Amino acid sequence: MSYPVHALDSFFYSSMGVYTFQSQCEMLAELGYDGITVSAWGGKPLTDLSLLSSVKARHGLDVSALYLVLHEGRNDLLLRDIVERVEGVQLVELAVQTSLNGANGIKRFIESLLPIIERRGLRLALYPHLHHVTQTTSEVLQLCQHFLHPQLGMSFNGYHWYAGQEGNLEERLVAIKPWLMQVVLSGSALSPLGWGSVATMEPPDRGELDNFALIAALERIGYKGSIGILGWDYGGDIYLKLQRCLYTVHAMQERLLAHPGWVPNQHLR
Amino acid sequence: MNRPLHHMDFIFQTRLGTYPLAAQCEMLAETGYAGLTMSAWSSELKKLPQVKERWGLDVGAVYLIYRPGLEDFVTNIFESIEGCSSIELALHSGDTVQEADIRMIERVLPICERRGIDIALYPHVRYGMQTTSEAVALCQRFNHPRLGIVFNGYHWYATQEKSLEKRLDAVWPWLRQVNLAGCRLSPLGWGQAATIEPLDEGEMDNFVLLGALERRGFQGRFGVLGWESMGGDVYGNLQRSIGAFRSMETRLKAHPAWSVMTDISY
Repeated sequence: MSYPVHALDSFFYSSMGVYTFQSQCEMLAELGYDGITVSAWGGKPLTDLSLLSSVKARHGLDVSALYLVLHEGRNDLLLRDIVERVEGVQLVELAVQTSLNGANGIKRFIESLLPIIERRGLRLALYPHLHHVTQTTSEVLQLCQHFLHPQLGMSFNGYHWYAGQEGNLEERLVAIKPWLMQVVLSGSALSPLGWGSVATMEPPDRGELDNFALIAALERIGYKGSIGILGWDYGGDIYLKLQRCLYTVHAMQERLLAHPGWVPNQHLR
Repeated sequence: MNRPLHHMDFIFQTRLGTYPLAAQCEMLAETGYAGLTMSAWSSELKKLPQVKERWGLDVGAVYLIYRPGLEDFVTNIFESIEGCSSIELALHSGDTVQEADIRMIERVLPICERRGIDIALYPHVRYGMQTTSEAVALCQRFNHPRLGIVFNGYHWYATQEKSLEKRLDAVWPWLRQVNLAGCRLSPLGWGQAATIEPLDEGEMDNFVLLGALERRGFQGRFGVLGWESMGGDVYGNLQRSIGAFRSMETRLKAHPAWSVMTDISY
């Protein structure tokens, strides 16, 4: 199958500044992306969230998700207020970066968010993130299993899975399959020069992580959602990097279709 | 737009050796470059006047480094250079601009007047004159029509001078040429500061730099920096850089607003 491909808006941030949201959308539309994930971070988005509901009409792009970062005990109200009011997006991705009250505090926050998610017809995907409180797919899976809520699931981020060296790709994907709502990919190599002194973020045509094998594994578990491209401060001339990323992900899918047997025998570590 | 694009000859100086000038020029002409900047240490510097006639390329400038003890060498280049009227001058006398650098400029400016040569000061990370601010200060001090600045995107990025718009405004009255490179801050890069890569690589956004120059009406020459650390197939790297440059300028014409960043920082 051909997955829709979206880009994370963090692709457009660099040490030289941040592209306007309009430029972000125009570039992605011209390049042939299907959508964009917009970050509201810890409650202070760099993008005017009131623009989200007009993105589809203006640019033909889906807003693939709204990304939020919880600092439990600090910005709970701010995030709840955003989820209560945001328009133009159906999926909320939530990373839990820090916590004042530990596991119970995090659960209380999710519990308080779920009625809003239900009422507004949204979905909530917990987002494992290296160097955050919930780093691994296993940790996030436990939260999903605790709530067993049809509108609560998780994202799988190839970069954070690889950088966290969680390993056991097939096993992890099979375990999270019932809860999998979104996927994000990135090229990556373990390196002290990379993000968090752990691993680089690169276009998926570079690095040591085999994204072809990863897409094949997603195909095997029957994933039907969108594939996001991670970008963070490595962009350079962003347009050309986005072009490379989209080309690579499309090429990998076409190759997989033509050669479904080109899959490594051994599970990725 | 199709601005004439030059390349510095460093790209041909690899760990395996230096390509002969003929091969350099044939590769540059074939890949679509309009000219080159030759380094003053090139063993074929004397052939410089033949470059236009034989390969149709312009020699935009000669790149020269002043270090203490090189006074006569530098002076001799100014006195003897033929076929090129611009010298990109890096100053490397200490950790900052030194009195010796000023004496050197004083010594060559009369030669420039007499021979019609322009100096473009070349800020260089890890050298004495590292930043555009230091180059502007020298231009202000001398206030000489033959003394200007080459803005080098790589060195601006590597020194983390930042404030691109402000720096370009400050440099503008003296701006002669612009050099570009793909680059990323890295201890594995040049001087343990930043990598030098083809224009389609790295984390520095050259599209934004091009846009900022376009908005100011820059009509001068663009050159691409290259260095042995880029490695690999020189011809392929030349192709990648000019391909990226053409993509950027086409895009800039179609979408000038894309190159204007927000004021937001993250």
